[in-house]
Parts: sequence; C-alpha cells; structure tokens
Amino acid sequence: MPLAAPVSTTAVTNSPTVMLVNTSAATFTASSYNRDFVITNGGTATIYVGSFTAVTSATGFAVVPGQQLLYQGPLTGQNSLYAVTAAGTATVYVGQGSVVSVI
Amino acid sequence: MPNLGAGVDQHVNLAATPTWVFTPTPNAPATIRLFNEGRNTVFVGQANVSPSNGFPLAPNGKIEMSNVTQTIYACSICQGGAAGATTLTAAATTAGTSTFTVSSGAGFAVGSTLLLGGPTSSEAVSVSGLAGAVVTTGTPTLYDHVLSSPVTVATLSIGQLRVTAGVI
Repeated sequence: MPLAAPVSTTAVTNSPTVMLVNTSAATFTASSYNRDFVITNGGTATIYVGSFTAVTSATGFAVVPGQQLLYQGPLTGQNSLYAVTAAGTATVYVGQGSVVSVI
Repeated sequence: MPNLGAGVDQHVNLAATPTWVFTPTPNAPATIRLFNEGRNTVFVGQANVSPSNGFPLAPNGKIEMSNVTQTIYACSICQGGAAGATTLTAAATTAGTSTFTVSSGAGFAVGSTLLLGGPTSSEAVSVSGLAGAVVTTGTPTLYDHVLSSPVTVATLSIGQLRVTAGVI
C-alpha cells in the first residue's frame, strides 16, 4: 500500500499562517472528518501552533524541527489551526492520524 | 503539582488563566501525553496561553509528543457577558498592568473573573480588589488592551487535563 500524501503542506512564516481550516470546505477532507491528525515540522525553525491568528511564538504550542505532534480528537467550533515561527520559514505537513473506514 | 515519576498520571484542574502543567526535566524522557478528561475544550501553549492563541484540545482529545522543549501551560475557556455594557475607560492598558478603570464597576465583585478585551485578544483576569470603577487584578494582564475594550463578568467552563509524562 503506498504511503498517503500529506493532507496539506504549508510554508509557515513569522506571520500566523493557517494550516488547517475547519469549515465545510476544509482542506482536511471534504467530508468534515476534521479530527485525528499529525502535524510534522519538516523545516529548520520551531513552529508554534494555535487556533487563531493571534498565535505568537510566545504563546503557541511549540513543535521543534523534525518533531511531530499527534492529536487525537475533533477540531471543535470554529477552531482552525494556525502556526507561526519566531523567524524564518518552516515547511509543515499535516496528515491524517487515523484511517477513515466508515463515516 | 508534584513530580510523581514517569508514567504516573496527574490530573490538573485548569483555571481561566494560564495554569502550569509540565516542565521537561534533564535526565528524563521529554515525552508527554495530554488528555482532556473534562467536558470543555481547553487550550494548550506557553506561559501566556489563552483561548485566542492556544492549541485547542477538545473533550476526550489527546496530544502526544516527544522531545518537548518547552514548559507547557493550559487554560480553561470562559464566556463573557453581553458586550458593550462595561468598557475599559480612562486609558488603554499594556501587558503587565494590575489596575484598570472601567465605565462602571456594577456587577463586579472581589473574587470574580472578568473577561477583558475583544474576541481575538481577550483574557480572563481575577478581581482581587475593587474601588468604585477601579479594578485591581490578582495577576498582571498578559496583553495590551485598547481604550473602550469590553469588560464583562466571565462564566467559567473549567477543564481538567490528565498529564502523563515520561512515557508514550
């Protein structure tokens, strides 16, 4: 079985960058299965993850280069996911954290 | 929170203000599992975390991560009252302020929690002193707030986090 491609690849900069949009037109899936994902920092700068454009490098949840954050659960409400770096750009991959067999 | 050793669950009740949950320590695996065992979404981040900038962890949601390099804080959510009734007057406030003036202190009480600021910059503050329309907070504010920002009594939705460090 071939490896699945990431759901999204985002170049995160020092300005809050949206990685995952929690809407009916979500980039995650077209079926609103907005849960269970893996955020992988494929860059060389630490990224800081949060839920709104207000996220900063002093407030967000840090994911260091090469590291991944595994989240199991739904994205609730209007919580889209944003990330920001303190400086520079980091390539971030968002992939699914579970296999959707029946939804 | 005591350090009970690797793999021992610890349960943290989260305030509306940033609550410390984990510090990576030398000579121990910096791995962590955070599980939201409450009924409300909580927000995870650093020392200045708030619902407007933290990572949302839904009820029954779980975060697992290795190589944690940061001290982790989390906070509960709170809902403000009807906007417009009370606003920040006299002057804007800067981060670190412990006293501010509102248009009216009616309905506020020592010990209550207020939601200060607009939707994208709101933060919860606890009232430690009240003299007319002058509010003193228990801890300094985390963010700047412009003049006329809404100030309302907050309704807390307390969250509880299960913290498992050292093993995944």
